[in-house]
Amino acid sequence: MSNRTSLWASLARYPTVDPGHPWAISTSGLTRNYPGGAGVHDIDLRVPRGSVYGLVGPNGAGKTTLLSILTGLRRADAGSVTTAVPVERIAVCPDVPDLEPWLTAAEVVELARSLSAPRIPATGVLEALAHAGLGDVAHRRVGGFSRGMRQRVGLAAALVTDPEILVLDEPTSALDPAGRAGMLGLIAAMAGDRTVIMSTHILADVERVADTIGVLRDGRLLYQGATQDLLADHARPGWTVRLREGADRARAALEGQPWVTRVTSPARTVLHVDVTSADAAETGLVPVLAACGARIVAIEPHTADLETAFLSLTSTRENP
Amino acid sequence: MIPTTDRPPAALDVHRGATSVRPLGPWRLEWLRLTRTRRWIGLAVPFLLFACTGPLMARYADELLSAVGTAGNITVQATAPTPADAMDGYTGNALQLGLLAALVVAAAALTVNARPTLAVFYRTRVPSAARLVLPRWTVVTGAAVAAHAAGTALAVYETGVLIGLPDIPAVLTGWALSSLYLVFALAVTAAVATRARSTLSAVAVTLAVVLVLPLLAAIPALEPWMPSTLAGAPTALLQGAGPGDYARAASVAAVVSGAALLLAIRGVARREL
Repeated sequence: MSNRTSLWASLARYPTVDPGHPWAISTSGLTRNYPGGAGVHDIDLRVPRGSVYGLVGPNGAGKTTLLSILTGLRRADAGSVTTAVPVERIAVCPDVPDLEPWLTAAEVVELARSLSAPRIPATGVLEALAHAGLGDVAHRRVGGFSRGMRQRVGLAAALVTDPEILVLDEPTSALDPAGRAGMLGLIAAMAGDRTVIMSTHILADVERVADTIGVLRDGRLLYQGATQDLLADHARPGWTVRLREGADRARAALEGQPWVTRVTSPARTVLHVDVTSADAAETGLVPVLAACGARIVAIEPHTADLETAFLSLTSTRENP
Repeated sequence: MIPTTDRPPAALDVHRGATSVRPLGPWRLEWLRLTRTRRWIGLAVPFLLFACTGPLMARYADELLSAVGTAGNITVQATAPTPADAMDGYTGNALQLGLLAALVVAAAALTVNARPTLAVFYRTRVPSAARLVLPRWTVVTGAAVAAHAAGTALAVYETGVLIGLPDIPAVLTGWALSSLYLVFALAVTAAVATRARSTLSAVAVTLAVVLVLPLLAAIPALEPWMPSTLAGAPTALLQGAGPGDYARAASVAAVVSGAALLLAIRGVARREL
């Protein structure tokens, strides 16, 4: 347990530090109740050391509450948090950091270094900014920065302290496509060297960089484990159907089949059909389309993705 | 590496060639907050302005009143100005508007939790909330006391030129006691601001506290104990009062200031984000 007199210690519940802990961060029965049933309930989080842990869930699922408790900014009503490293080795990066507009980017990062990791040489400041892609604007005041640039200043301010655990809240929410790709590349490159916990509702980001995933819904942890296991266990088979005409008739006919779980139409002549089993679709899909007079151009199975798995998981829990 | 998509025009990047960063800790941060945001001007102006006008008004009050009086066929004659009148013209005004300016500047710096994502930046990086509160309070309070010192010095100089030098030991004692009142008021501001959701609400609540104290001081039994009486010390000392008359008020101000700062530190730490 940390013996520092800190903000964390002044809170009713703060993380217990156990260097021999098998997990980077774990929680046991973590609960925080808010009126109307909101909050988080009985969360047993297990974040492996050196992993990229994706915490996903819809808006209001409890992601921010959980991260706030993990980082000591909110109290839990019950349960405990245990970390493998002292609090000063944990860095937090909000989705779009609010920064003092009259400081330069370099001064913001230097301030972060001097406050939380004064042992680290100041030379790391410009390196961190360059790492975050802001080397050219290091000496500009952040008051004129875009949301994406502030997000990257926040990342540099977190990285300059060389944290063992990095908590990122919606790390790509304000970035353009190129910035998003760069951010995900940075996160992926950290795997093994440090533990990253990222909360997001962009499932494609998690699928790309997270090796471990936790799915939150209504404040409860529905799933926790390897991302690949989630895909394997919960991604139901699906087919992409391309038609020359008759998409509306085909959609209505397919939605009437008991083995079809969902039909979506990303384009006028394209249907995505999720099914309960591959066998049923392989034998039933073509006859149904033929019976309704749809003119088929192509039918191909689509690969299981995290969105499909997520929807399958949450719908299963809704209607067990 | 992430590509830079918002690269600024080179002309704006005045320090582009810089290869190092000057160390920046919480104390220099507060100095920059005061100077780069120009808040120091708002802090200094009331003290310096009334330091200029106070002795002038005292010296030429007779002429001004005569000019106003003859317009209505009324003759108004002021008593001969004294150095105490001139200094009262400074402290009477500066310790009201100067204090108000200092309250606003302090509240703006000390509402740590008013901007939650900025608060996350600070609160997840400091081992103790004292590292957030004490530099903010000390720098603003130091600046206010320094502005009061500069105003007092200017008022003494101008009084000496226009009327005659005031009693310097009494002036210095009065400055010290009224500065203690500033310290007290800004400590109360810290206690309020660290719990407030906005700078405006922090200023409003602190002002209410500061305004209630003189009302309590109207009760004779409480008057010697009220820190607000320290604000009247500069004038009273020049008019014959002794420093011992303010011992109880000064003690209360010192104790309450310490307690208020402890409350401020706890206020930052306990507020959830």
